[in-house]
Amino acid sequence: MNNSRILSLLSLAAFALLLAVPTQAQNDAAQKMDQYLNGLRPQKPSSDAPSSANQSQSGRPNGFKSDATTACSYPFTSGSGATYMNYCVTVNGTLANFESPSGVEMLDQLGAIEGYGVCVIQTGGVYYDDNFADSGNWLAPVTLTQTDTEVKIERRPADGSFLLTQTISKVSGAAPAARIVMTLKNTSGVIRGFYLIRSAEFVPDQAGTTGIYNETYDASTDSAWGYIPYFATYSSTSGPYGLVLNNVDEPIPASTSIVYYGYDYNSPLGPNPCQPLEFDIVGDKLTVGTLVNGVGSGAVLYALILNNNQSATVTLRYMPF
Amino acid sequence: MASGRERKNRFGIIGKRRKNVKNTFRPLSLLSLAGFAFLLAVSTPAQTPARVTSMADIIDHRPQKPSSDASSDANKTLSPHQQTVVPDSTEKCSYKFTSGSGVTYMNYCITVNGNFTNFESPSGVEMLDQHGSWEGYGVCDYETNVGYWDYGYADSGNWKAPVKVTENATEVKIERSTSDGMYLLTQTISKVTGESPEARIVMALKNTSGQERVAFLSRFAGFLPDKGASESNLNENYDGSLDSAWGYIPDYATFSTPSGPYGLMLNSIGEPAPASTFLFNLGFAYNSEYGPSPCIQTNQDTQGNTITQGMVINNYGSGAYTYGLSLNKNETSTVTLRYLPF
Repeated sequence: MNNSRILSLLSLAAFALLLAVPTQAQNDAAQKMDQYLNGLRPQKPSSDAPSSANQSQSGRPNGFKSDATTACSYPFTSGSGATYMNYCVTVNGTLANFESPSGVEMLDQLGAIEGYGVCVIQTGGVYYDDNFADSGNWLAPVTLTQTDTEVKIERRPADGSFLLTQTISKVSGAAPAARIVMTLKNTSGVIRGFYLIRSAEFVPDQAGTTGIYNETYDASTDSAWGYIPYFATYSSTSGPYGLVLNNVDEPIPASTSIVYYGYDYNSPLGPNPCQPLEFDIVGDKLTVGTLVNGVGSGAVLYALILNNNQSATVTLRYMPF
Repeated sequence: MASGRERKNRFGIIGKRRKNVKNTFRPLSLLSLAGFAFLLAVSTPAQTPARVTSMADIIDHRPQKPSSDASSDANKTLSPHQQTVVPDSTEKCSYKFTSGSGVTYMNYCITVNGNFTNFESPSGVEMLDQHGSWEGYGVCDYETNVGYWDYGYADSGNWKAPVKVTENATEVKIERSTSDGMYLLTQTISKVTGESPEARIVMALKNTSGQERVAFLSRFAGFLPDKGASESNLNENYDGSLDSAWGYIPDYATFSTPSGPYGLMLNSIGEPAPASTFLFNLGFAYNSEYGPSPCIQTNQDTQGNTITQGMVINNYGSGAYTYGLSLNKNETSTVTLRYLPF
């Protein structure tokens, strides 16, 4: 078994132990997740129905939405040709698209599935927004600032347990990137453990036109990515381009960071924040690891421990490759 | 399967990655070049960008020499000096660059010839130098089908001595001409420090042949996992896209490895300048640890081994990035790449 995987699993286990109530918390998390999912998830025809039963012909799920939106609110553009970058941020702080180089769109193929998730370990509280759907327990987002280069958006859950502030900035020039700074503040009144996750369904550039969403996915400690290989072993209508979600530096302050890593999995939807390696947000079982010629997603997960009113800041970036 | 065993079988090495490689300049056949063009035109099932197809068209419409003449034609381009040139490839560190600490740490070193002898980032994660680093550059002159390369472990024997133009705390600039005076390659390698460190490589290829030329300019890297040497397991995953080539250990690998889940990417930045010189570009991975033969890059490595391009999983391999360039007399084309950990 990969060292980091051992480390990750051990760390997560240690993290749970550190929080003193691992078994009950896990059970609570599972129960609460079931409640969430039962309320949000569309009914499947039968228990044996494949996970694709609720998916369109394109392989993308049809279904529910609440405050989640794919509508573009804050567009950012730079460069031209090979250095062109165009992305748009929704009111909720998710990405509605990412195009770079010019003409190569790697998130929005009939809608982008990109966003964030938070799990409060002790309570099992699940909070997510991946454009396709949200957990239904967020207050309205607040746009703090907006300029030509960045937008800063604040959002808190209805139960007031934390505050998530995101600053999304364009890095223009020869090697363009979208930089995402996420600050999670514990406003629960007590020390809490959190999983903070950023995830994206990377999609090939012609998927929306051809209905072929398959590509190749993988991940490392610092990154998760999706791409079409230049010399692919499978047929694709899309060009050999990729998009990587890359962690930058370490969570700040370092004392808040338990573990972080990237991973990819075989679902187009965001992961369940409290069972991020096991289920997506509609409860479909995940398989993590190298995915060749499939429909998948990538995520970077941070396990954080925060004192009351303490914040942790993580930084990521989307880069074409 | 441990790559160490494979390497031992193949190279007779135990616990050491490299052996000295006989430095042989291999005449390259036009037939093989035509094969390269064919590959560029049709072999990738993924959608081939128009510019690559255009390059294939260019090559396909050129008069083809009989393949039986290829070797002799190639040899005719070699001056007596070239044919007696003593190889001067080296993996010795000459220009060292360091920045940051911990996860933002970066350390790499450049040889007198402009190769990387190592790339370490983050701290403790070395992704080129596992008992030696195989990294470097290649040029193919399409007209003569002559290749010029230096990959650290060996070179083509047809380069003049390098000239260091400038050196400071952040970059080194190195010039090198081919022995036959056809090309001048100027490399400026700079460190980009900060939270996302990288090594940036600007390669300027000048046509000094006295007439219009088509050239392939390449960068090659033998990506390696961080515990490759100490644990005698150099296997990892490799792949390429239009803009990049890379090697890595997956976070949730389906195979056992003593190395951590880190990767190193060779990424092209922008397009060759001026745009008029730009014919095509591509990144690719393949199943050999040797550099590609510059004139038949997707077919053969410098040892004459046939290579298979495309994704490599849990095996040894390499990555390369290639530009097709059209250069008028005395014209220079500049390309930019970077090594970044991911």
